Amino acid sequence: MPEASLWGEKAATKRRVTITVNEIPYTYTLPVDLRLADFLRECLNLKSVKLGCGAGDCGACTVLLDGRATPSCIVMAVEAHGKSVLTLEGAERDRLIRALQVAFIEKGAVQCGFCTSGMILTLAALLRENRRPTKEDIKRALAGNLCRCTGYQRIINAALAVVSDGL
Amino acid sequence: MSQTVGPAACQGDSFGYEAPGSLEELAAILRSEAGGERTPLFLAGGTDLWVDLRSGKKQANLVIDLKQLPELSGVREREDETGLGALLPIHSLESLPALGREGQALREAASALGSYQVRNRATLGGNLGNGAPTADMAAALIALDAVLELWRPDGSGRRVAVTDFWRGAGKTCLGPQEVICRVWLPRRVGWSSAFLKQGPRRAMDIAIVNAAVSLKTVKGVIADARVALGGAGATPLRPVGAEAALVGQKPSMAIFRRAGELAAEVSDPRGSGRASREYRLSLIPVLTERALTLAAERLTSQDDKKVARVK
Ligand SMILES: Cc1cc2nc3c(=O)[nH]c(=O)nc-3n(C[C@H](O)[C@H](O)[C@H](O)COP(=O)(O)OP(=O)(O)OC[C@H]3O[C@@H](n4cnc5c(N)ncnc54)[C@H](O)[C@@H]3O)c2cc1C
Repeated sequence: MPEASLWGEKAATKRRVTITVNEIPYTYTLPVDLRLADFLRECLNLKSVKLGCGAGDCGACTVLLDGRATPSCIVMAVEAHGKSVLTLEGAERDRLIRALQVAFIEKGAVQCGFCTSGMILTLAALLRENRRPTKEDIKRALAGNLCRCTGYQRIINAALAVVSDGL
Repeated sequence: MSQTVGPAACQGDSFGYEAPGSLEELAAILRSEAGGERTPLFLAGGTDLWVDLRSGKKQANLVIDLKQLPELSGVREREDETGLGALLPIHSLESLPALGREGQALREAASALGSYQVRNRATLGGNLGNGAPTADMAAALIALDAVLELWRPDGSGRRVAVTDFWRGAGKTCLGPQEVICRVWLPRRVGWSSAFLKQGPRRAMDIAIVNAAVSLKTVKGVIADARVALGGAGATPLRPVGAEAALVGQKPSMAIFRRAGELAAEVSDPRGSGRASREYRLSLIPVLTERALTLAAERLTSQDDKKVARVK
């Protein structure tokens, strides 16, 4: 279990929660200050979820919470009670996310890979809201996903390739 | 849906989390905490609160999650006003039809807040509750004459004009047990509005200064105006002198520039890591003038449409 209580040295109370992750319901009794990102990584071993800044700035920990792109470092696991979470590990059966993964590989949009899961899930959420986003829409949606390797161009190209394939 | 463990479940020296499913449940929790050791903090999207708790800027021993309260959700329409639930995610405001033409400033302010992820999570009520003078919704709501509907555990609600909400740096008129339920926007037919923001980066950053304005013209003359600024003082400001200078005038570059100067005269921004006081003071007239110009263009295009229809 991850260290440090969020609110200092006092212990957090625990709550019983049920969260559906990648279509499987899990019931756990969790400290109320456990971040959703830590729950996914440490309890469920879903390591596609990356912890970067821990303050909602970098987008590496983005997951889909009830379908919406969400920074899992500033959401506590207890807040996801009764909700469903999708991480990149759950993308096997998702055609749109598969298409994004393939486009990322083909367009060379992955370098160190730390930002990739957050990028792909953010784009999946965007494309579900808007099937025909413009390049500007894509850039705006990715403003909260930092990448220090690619310079973004290849990531945007990968997204545009999926858009023009009309999935 | 609610899975409240009674407050008794959190004992002594530990931190608790409650998620009431109704205002009655919330009232019961607050009553049982009254006079106790714990000071409850309300939680909506957590994009300010969790960050502030982690950094140590705030301390809490009880967090009460408001997200399951139906009374704070959704959009309510009345004949003369629209009520936006405090829990509405900022992202949903970006394209909310209920805001009408006159509500464009709020749509623009929503689009300018944080990132896609943050806008999904952050709420309207949280943006106000946080009390920041740069909160993007703040200036827009002042320009739209918003009224806040507040709730207290004894059931005594009150309505507060948004201009009376801020009470100094980071301070609001909210009592410790008071909750923002809804933000009411009066229907303002014939008005137009605009919001502009300058931040350190083009996206994903708190404003250095933001400006929201609204205008109404009658026969080509400005009949009424609102000007609101964020980042221009300890609280969001409404420079009424700038508004007064506009009324009775025809929209023009000269009068908008004058309004911008008057807005800067009553501003008292501080210097911070984000920008110096001087930079803020030079931004204020520019953003005010540009926002007024934009709002005036929108009026003209509305009038054009009306004229076209009459013909
Ligand atoms: C990466 C990042 C970027 C950001 N960019 C911007 C930006 O560009 N512009 C901007 O304005 N803000 C920005 N913010 C700040 C934040 O996202 C907004 O202020 C947001 O609207 C807060 O809403 P919330 O629901 O997350 O509030 P919370 O964090 O849940 O709450 C904030 C405060 O309001 C109180 N509160 C919440 N709801 C209520 C209610 N209904 N009644 C009474 N009190 C209440 C809470 O007790 C708390 O004190 C950013 C934050 C992050 C992490």
